[in-house]
Order: sequence, then C-alpha cells, then structure tokens
Amino acid sequence: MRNIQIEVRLFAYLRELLPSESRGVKKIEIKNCLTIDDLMDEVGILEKEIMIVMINGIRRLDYNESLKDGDRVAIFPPVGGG
Amino acid sequence: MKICRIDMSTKSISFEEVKEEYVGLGGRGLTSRIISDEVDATSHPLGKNNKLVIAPGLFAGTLAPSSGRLSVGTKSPLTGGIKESNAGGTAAQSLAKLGYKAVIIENKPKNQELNLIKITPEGITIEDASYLKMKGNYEVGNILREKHGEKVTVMSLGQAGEMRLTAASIAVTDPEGRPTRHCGRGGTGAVLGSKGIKAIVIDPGKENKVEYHNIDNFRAAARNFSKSVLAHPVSGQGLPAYGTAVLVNILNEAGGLPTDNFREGRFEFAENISGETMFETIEKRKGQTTHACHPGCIMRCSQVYNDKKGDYLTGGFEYETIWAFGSHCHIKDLDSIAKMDKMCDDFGVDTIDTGVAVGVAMEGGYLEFGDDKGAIKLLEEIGKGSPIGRIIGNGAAFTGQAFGTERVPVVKRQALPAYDPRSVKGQGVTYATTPMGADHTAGYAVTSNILGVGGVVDPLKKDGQVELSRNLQIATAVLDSLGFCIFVAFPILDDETAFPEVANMINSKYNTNFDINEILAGGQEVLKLEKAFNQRAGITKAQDRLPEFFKEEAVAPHNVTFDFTDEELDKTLEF
Ligand code: SF4
Repeated sequence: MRNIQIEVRLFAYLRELLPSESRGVKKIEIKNCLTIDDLMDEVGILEKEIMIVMINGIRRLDYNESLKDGDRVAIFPPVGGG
Repeated sequence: MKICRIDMSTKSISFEEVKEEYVGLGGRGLTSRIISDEVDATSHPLGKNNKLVIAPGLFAGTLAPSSGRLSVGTKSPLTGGIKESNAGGTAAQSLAKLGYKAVIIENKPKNQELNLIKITPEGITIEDASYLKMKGNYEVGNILREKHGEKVTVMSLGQAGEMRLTAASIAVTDPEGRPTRHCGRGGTGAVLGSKGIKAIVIDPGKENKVEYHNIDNFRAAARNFSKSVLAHPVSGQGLPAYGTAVLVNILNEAGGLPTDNFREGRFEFAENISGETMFETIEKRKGQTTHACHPGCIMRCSQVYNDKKGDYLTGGFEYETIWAFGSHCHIKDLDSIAKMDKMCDDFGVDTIDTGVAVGVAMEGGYLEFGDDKGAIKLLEEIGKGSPIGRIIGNGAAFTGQAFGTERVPVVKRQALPAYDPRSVKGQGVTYATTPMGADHTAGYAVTSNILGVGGVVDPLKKDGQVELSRNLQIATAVLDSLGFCIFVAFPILDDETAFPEVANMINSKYNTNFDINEILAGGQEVLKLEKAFNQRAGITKAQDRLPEFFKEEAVAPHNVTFDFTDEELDKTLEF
C-alpha cells in the first residue's frame, strides 16, 4: 500500500517528543489508512495527554478517523487561557 | 462593611452603612447597580454627574482562591454605555481587609487638579499630587512607595488618564509593586482623571476586617473548590505553566487568530510570538514563567518577562496583548511586543484598544504593517501627549476616524479582542451583544468553541452559539460580582461539584440560603440593569452588531463569514 505524507504539529510540552530545533513540526510518511490513534502511537503520545486534535484547523473528537495525504495534524495537551 | 463617598468638588469624605439592597452585591454587581441607581445615563462621562465606583468582589480578602479581582464601574467615555472593568493586583484584597464594600468618587474639581487619595486604617485623606504630573505608572509607583511605604497598593493613572483619553486604564500594582494589572477596558482611567485624581494609595494595615458567618464551612467549601481548580487540566496545569499566550498557536491552528487587521485567520509568524517561544525566552533570561497577580491565586497565569540582558522588561504579558501588537499589526518580534506592553502599562492605556488602534493606523497608511520600530515610536507619542499620541490613546474607533478608514474592528466603539468572530462564532455573539462593547471576557465562548471545556460547540457553525454566549454572559456576571478571576470558569464548566461549593461559600460567609439557580438569576439581573442603562444612554439594538465587513468578507483558512441575522443576535440577552 502506498504511503502518504502528513504534517504533525505538536504544542506546549508535547514538543519534547521531537528535537527542539523542529519547533514541534514534523513531516512524516505513514501508511495509508492510518488513524489519528495510530499516529499518536507512532509519535509516542498517550491519549490522556491530549486535549485538542485539529486536522486542517478543524477539531476532531473521533480519533478513529483515517488521515489523508497532506493533512496538517495539530495536537495540544491540556492548555488554555483567556 | 461600609461604603465611602468622596466628593471631589468639596473634597469631603463621608461614610455610610451598606443599604439592605446592596448587602448581597459586590464587584460588578455592585458597581453596575450604583451607577445605574445614581448616574443619569445621559450624563457626559467626563462631567461632574458621572461617578466612578470601586468595589472588591464579595469574596475579596477571603480564603476563596483567585478571588482578588477589583471592579471599577462608571459610564464609559469610550462606549457611552455602562462599564465594568476588572483587574487583578492587590487593591481588592486591601480594600476588603479595611472593611470597604465600595468607594464612590463623585463630582469634580472646578479647575484641573491632581490629587492623591490615601486610604489607611486611620481613614481617608486627599492630598495634592501635582508633583506627579505627566509621570508614568512605573515612576508614580516608585515615588509613592518611597513616601508611603513599600507595602502599599497603588492604583494610578499614567499620562493617558491625566489627558482623559478614551483608552486610558487604571493601573493596579501586583504583589511586587509593579503596575502590571489594569482595569483596561472602556476608558475608566479617563473618568478618574476627570475627577482630578492621579493615584490612590491603599495601606491595609495589619488587622483583617473580613468577616464570615461560618468560617469553618467557608473554609471547607473553599478547600473543595480549590481542589476542583487544581484538578482541571487548564486551570491546574496549563495556565500556571504557559500563561494565556499558549493561545497564539491554538487560535492560529483553528484559523481564528486575527491577522493584518482581521484579513486572515492565521499568521505566518505565529510561532515567533507563541506561548511556547515566550516560555523558552523567559526561561533563558531567568524571568518567571509562573506568577500570581495577587496573593491567593492558585492558577498563577502571570509571568515576568526579562529583556536580552536579563533585566525586568514587563509582566502580566497576556495573549490579547501579544495578539494586538503581534499578528494584528503583522509584527513578529516578541521583544518589541513586550516593550509595547510595558509602554502601555506605563502610560496607562488598554493594550487591546491601543494595539488595535496601531493596526488601524497601519490600515490608514500612517505606517506599514509589520513595522515594529514605527509602532514603538508611535506609542512613545502617547507618553509625550502629542496630537498623534492622543489620537492613538483614544483607541481604535477614534484612530479609524482620524485616518478615514472604514475597516475598524469595534463594537460600541470598543476594539475587538484576539478571536476572529467569523471562525470563533460564539465569541462574535458575545462581542456583539454584551453591554460592555466588544469584550472577550464577558462571555468567553472560546471554552466550548475551541478548548472543549464545558462541552463542544462547533466554532464555524451558528448552532448553539447564542445560547452558549447567553449562559456564559450570565455566569460571568456572577463571577465578576464575586471577585473571582474568570479562569475559575474552566473547572466550573467541567466539574459539577465546583459551582455548588461557590454557593456554599456565599451562604457560609453571608448567612444566606441561595441555591445555584438563584445565584445565576442574580447574574441575569446584573445584565438587565446594564442593558437598561445603555438603553437610557441611547444605545439600542442597532449597536449590538459587528462591523459589516465581518458579514461580507470570508476569512481564511475556513472561508467563513459572520452570518447571524439581527433577530438571532437580539435573542441573546432577551430575558
Ligand atoms: S489566573 Fe492569572 S489573571 Fe487570574 S487571578 Fe491568577 S494570576 Fe491573576
């Protein structure tokens, strides 16, 4: 099965999972039909560390959704303000 | 508890017992009530018939966590309507410890004067303060602490308040004595300036006059409530670690970070001005990433930001400020933005209205978008009191008129804050309908729209937004009356045990028997009063609207407009 490329964007302390010069952003190639859940496994994030997942700027609540080529996936731990 | 009246025409000071109807009111509930009861809504905001009411919240000085917000209420010279603006810092707790429920400043001197009000356990005095003329808040604080003691709280005006500009704020010192906390919105500083007052020094002394009907019950409820605050991921972990600036990246991802005067929803340099970058910069320069704006705050979203040399530059550096001088003006240098934050604190102007005004001046061709050096120079003019400085210091609406541009993001002449109303629609409903003029805190729909706190409401769709904004506006009126920091809303929205503990605290302090619904009904009453005042002042439904470009221009990346009908908006506060 062919691979697809997505852009993962990690924020706040989740960035510790990537080298600091990447500023939390990494383009990765993954197998087609991987889901948000699979991606989290791949990057090493536990679900309880997550507060918001956005794909192309739209919040997702169902982490079983498959990713598509070119998706911009933003993952935020529990943070917020006002 | 007592209420004090200061008449600035005769320089007389009187004290009164709290009227029965005012006993259960505090903070915004009390300021809006007194303004509504005592000020003719058609008065000129800078004239002798307007008043300025300063009131700690109902929980000020108590064991309740994060309850030290100070409300200032008046008829706003910016919006022409009723205004409550609240700030952290130590003033509310100091006033509550001295037994003050409110201080009402009325009338005005015949000639231009500068006075100092001193509030101590011995009483209240009025002194000449002409030696502080056209000094900024930082210097004023230093001089007054040297004269009156290191421990005093200082509320003061910078140059902008003295000049009675409509974006003028009232600064309140933090525990370190820095003027970083402001009643920022709506030009309350101009009203204090019109009364001939430059500063208020509060020395709480040693004795604490805060009383409880049943302190043991209060303590137990406060302890449980604190647990909820600390257990919630946003108020317990997110805010202390990253402050509010973490929202830069969140809103940027969500396409709701207004950029180039609300042309785009994402900023290509968001990372440069993000909370993450700020956090690293503060750590590297040995500032403080976590700081409480008043003792007893357990969420501690504030911080101390040092310059490149490691010396103090600014504090209380918030998301909305970073946005206003940052993406709104296409400025990507965090140090320049920090410098402008400091200048606003020093000159005493609202960072939101001033930052938006700078972007509007860019829109009008006065300087280029992205020109941080030019923006800093422009702000310096406020401190000098030059004509262009006065234009900017009067805020975004006035600046738009001065430069002949129609693209001015304001409601009721008050500048929109840092969330695009098209892509965070619940926020747009609040901007349009709150009696305060565009204000994010009045009904912070970002919670359900973006953060997933208090349920989920799709930020790009209209469904559920009016109801969301209504409920949040009512709850906020309650929190503003109690003196709570608005961020306790995060646990209240998600943890159903939290609000009942608030009721327990009210009942055990004031010997009442309110249930949650009665407390929320009190919030509705505040909004009703405020709306009625605005109506008497000539503010009608026609002003409960966003500028038309939000309806006509779609904003990227989601290409959405603000598509509510007038009838839908009018339902928001129909009760
Ligand atoms: S959370 Fe922040 S703004 Fe609120 S009271 Fe604490 S330090 Fe002040």
